Amino acid sequence: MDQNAGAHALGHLFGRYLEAQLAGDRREAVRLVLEDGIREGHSVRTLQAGVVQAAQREIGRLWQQNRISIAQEHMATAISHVVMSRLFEEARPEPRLGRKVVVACVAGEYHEFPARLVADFLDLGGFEVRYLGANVPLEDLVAMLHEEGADLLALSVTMSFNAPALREAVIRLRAEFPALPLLVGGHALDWEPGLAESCAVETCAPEAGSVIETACRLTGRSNAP
Amino acid sequence: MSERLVQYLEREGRALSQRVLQEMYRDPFWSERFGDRGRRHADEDSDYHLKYLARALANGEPHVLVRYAVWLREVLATRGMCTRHLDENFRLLALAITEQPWPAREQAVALLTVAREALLYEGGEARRLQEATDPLAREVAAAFRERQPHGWKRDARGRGALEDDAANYLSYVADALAIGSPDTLLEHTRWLAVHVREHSATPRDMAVFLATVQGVLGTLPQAAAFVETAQSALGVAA
Repeated sequence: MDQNAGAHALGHLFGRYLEAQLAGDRREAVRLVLEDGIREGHSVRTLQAGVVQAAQREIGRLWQQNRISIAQEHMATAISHVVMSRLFEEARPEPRLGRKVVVACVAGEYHEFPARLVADFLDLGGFEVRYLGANVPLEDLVAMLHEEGADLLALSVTMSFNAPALREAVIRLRAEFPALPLLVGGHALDWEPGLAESCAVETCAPEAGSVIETACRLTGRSNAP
Repeated sequence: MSERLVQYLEREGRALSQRVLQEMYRDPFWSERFGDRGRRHADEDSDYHLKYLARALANGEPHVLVRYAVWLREVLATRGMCTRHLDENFRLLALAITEQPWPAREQAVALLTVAREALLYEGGEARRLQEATDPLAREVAAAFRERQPHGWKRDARGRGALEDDAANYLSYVADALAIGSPDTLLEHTRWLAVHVREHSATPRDMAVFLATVQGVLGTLPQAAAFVETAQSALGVAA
């Protein structure tokens, strides 16, 4: 498939996936991505980003414009979680890099999907991932890092008003784990472009390639798989 | 200094923003227009206004509050609340903060002023209409009174009601232009028609009101066309 044909096919798949999401049809959404998407020759990474992630952005836009309700938004997101699980099973992970990453949303942050996406990107990219999900209390995060150890901590913050929780976490984590690299991502960084710099943390584009490359650099793995 | 102001906002801001809302809701227009559900959302939105204001203060620059204001403008406009109402909420919040003995409160007021400016659309007829809303609303009121000297009686709201209703209506028109759909304007038109009738205005008042609004939009053809659509939907002609 040439590049234009590939982009066209992906666009078509994205449209049908969005329709299935809004119709609440989980089986069709899974079938579209896992059967049609794979059969059409798209990689798992392309399907994660070009269909599921893109559809989630569109779902957010549709809610903003009052074209769908909160209930529909939640239904669509729940479907994307199912599809992400299936894609995770389907993918062939890269050889293990021997580096562990903990991925979590800061305390108070309930928008889990972006963090999950990053966790999947990293896991399939060869990292050993501990994914903690939404709204992780700082005390528990610190305790887990002491128990588990990690080569990198990736924190997600979507809502800008959770930025103070991020700042608090960074201060505490720097004190407890001075050598632990911190990678921060999420929508809050778009609305506050100076946030990452003011917290002195690393950030990267919300794409698999960029996430993996940055994680490799921060954990001393110079070559991304 | 802004750290202390943020502390005041976090400690006393909610009570302050609730007083602002209570003051707004003394005008029965708000509960009649948006009901209990609208009031609940207004309460929630007030909390978010404060949270984003606090973020902007902590950052020392307005970017995050501006992004929030522009985002919320679309969220509300597509749900039937015109941008002028949001602007009014920001204005009253700033006024209430001015009256507090908080340190550096002028920083919060300045940020809310920037947020209000961000509510202006970037260009086109929507922007031109927003900028001309106050004089056009006065023009509507004057032209209406010439034709219906005793019309648009709104006992609870007094003499300014007609200008206010006209300014709100023009804000709905500007939002409809920006959204690219007359739907929320049509919904507001239908509500207003019922509402003014309940407040002793006659169906003829509504027809004259719409014709007068359309009449002042001579230099804004798309806006005038949207009002004509609303007239047709309502089945009125002056």
